[in-house]
Amino acid sequence: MEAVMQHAPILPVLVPLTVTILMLLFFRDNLRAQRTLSIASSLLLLVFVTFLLVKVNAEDVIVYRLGNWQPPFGIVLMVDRLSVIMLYLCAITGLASLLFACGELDERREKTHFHPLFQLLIMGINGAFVTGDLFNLFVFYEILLSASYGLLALGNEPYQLRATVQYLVLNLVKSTLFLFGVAALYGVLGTVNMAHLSQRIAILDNNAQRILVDAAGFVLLTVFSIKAALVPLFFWMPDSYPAPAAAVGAMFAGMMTKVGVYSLARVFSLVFHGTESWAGNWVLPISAITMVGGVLGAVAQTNFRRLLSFHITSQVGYMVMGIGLFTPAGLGAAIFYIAHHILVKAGLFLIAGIAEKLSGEKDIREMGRLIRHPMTAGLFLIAGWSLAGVPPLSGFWAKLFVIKEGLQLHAYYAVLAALLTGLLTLFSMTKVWVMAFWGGEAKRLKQVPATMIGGAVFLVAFSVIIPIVAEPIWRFCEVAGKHLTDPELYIRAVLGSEDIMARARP
Amino acid sequence: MELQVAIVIGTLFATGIYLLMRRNTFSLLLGLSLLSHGINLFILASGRIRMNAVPVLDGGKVSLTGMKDFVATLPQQYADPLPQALILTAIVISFAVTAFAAVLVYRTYTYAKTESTNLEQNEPHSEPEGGEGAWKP
Repeated sequence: MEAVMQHAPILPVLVPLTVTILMLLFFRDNLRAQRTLSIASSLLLLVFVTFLLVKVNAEDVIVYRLGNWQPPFGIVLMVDRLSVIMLYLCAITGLASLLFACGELDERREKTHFHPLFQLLIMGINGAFVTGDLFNLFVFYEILLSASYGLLALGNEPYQLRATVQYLVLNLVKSTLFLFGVAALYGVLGTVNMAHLSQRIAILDNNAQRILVDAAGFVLLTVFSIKAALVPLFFWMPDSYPAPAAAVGAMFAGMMTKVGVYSLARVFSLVFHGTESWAGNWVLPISAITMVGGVLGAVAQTNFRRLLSFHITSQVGYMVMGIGLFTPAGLGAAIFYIAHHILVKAGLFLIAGIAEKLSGEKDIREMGRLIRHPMTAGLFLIAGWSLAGVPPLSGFWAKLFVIKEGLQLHAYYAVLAALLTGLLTLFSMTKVWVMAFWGGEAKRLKQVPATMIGGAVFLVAFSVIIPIVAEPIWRFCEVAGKHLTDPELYIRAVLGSEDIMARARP
Repeated sequence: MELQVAIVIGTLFATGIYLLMRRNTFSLLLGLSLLSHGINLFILASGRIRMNAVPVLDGGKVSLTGMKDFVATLPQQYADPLPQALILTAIVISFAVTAFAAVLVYRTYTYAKTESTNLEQNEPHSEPEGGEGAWKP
């Protein structure tokens, strides 16, 4: 056991990969075995991540050197409190989506490599959370994107193909920009290891080189803004997220944009720590525009999942506002918000999936008095209130932490945007409630498998559980935020103190 | 040498972006692959372009304590191998994704009967927007 646990940081990547290979080699036509393996993999991930959580709580930053190369030469994995929270959320969301998918997907779609692709998606997401160097972040982005192209097109419907073409082209351009940023940083600083980059940027004294580094920073900001769907660059999301099956949509809505938010937090707190003007000057205004812009888009929508997609953008604004404040409490609030949001948003996507299955419609005006199915109505009520931030649900605490820190730092315009967005979110949720659950013509409701309801209940339950244990979670997030503001911690953990190359000029 | 490489990268990017702007899915594919070539060359250039130099450090000759002086003289005697490793990874990824994109575009073509990217407004069997450059498989 100890021998396995020594390699705990890489297990979140290896477990889904192994399961994928097994499925593709031996169980191509055996759906039952694929389901068992998928769910076993998710449960196994939960166990390993729990172990990592305990270990991180004791050691702060775990560094795993692949092949035991001395950093910065080899590939390193780096797990801190933020990574562990993200891994946990990914395991939970993955499990709920899988349960849901077993009920939602018809056999044809599920057999067309749904399970292998889903495991690869989880592998890519986990990899992005544990990697300690910028190039591997790019590689894991590509892995999760490749899996997501397949999942998006799964079903082969015309509207899915259309959405996939747009999504694919945008992401390929984004990947090119990402590589451009990484290569520019490498050209100036001679490394792609994040801790090493941070150290070298801090001692950079050549003005021309500094300008190049700033340019690379802007390129990476653009890349992560596209991924996180921040306002000027969010246009691709409302078209692509409603296209796949609801289970896949939930995974996309919950985890994919948050990979962008995570990268933003990680790269700009660690690598670009030497250029502090970043956070205040750019990220905070973008977050204010994102919150209001996203929710204004949502108010006009009537397609259930499209409406929810616009809400992702506006909610990401809150997290980015926490990052933009760039204080331990601000980053902690952002992390708390991420935890709340992933669970609630994935839950809402699953509820939308149930509503679509019940009524056979995608438009909330056509769904017709879903209150006749009280379970779904109750779940939506909790999740919708939580999203809007009604006390005492998890959304209230998440918003409270972000807004409190905003007030303390006198970022009044961002606070105003956050409050306005909360109000409009409540309006938008009320609209869905009135149109889909109260109003409309009552048609015959179809049967919904129990696993679909089970998946949604599992996620929505966290909206109620998080407030009960809010204090320990907040303490954990606050420490995570405090560590993010202190790059020395990571540099020491990754490079060690006896590093010879450390002070060599780039 | 730097100037030539810079011009080539710039040309690849300009052509790639021009092709991306066209409303034709086949041009889109070509544009994307040109962009990926451009970025691969850019990574190569980021490791400095150096001719007739060894890519591997000779561990026997350099003690770890002498590393600092050694680093100062690096540019003259050493070709950086890391960018090539990075490019190799990037090529594999872009190859796979381009192959997928080609299949996807073909699938889209078979249902919409057009190469226009403006898929929403297309009636089946309508005249391709790409005009004379349209691609007929």
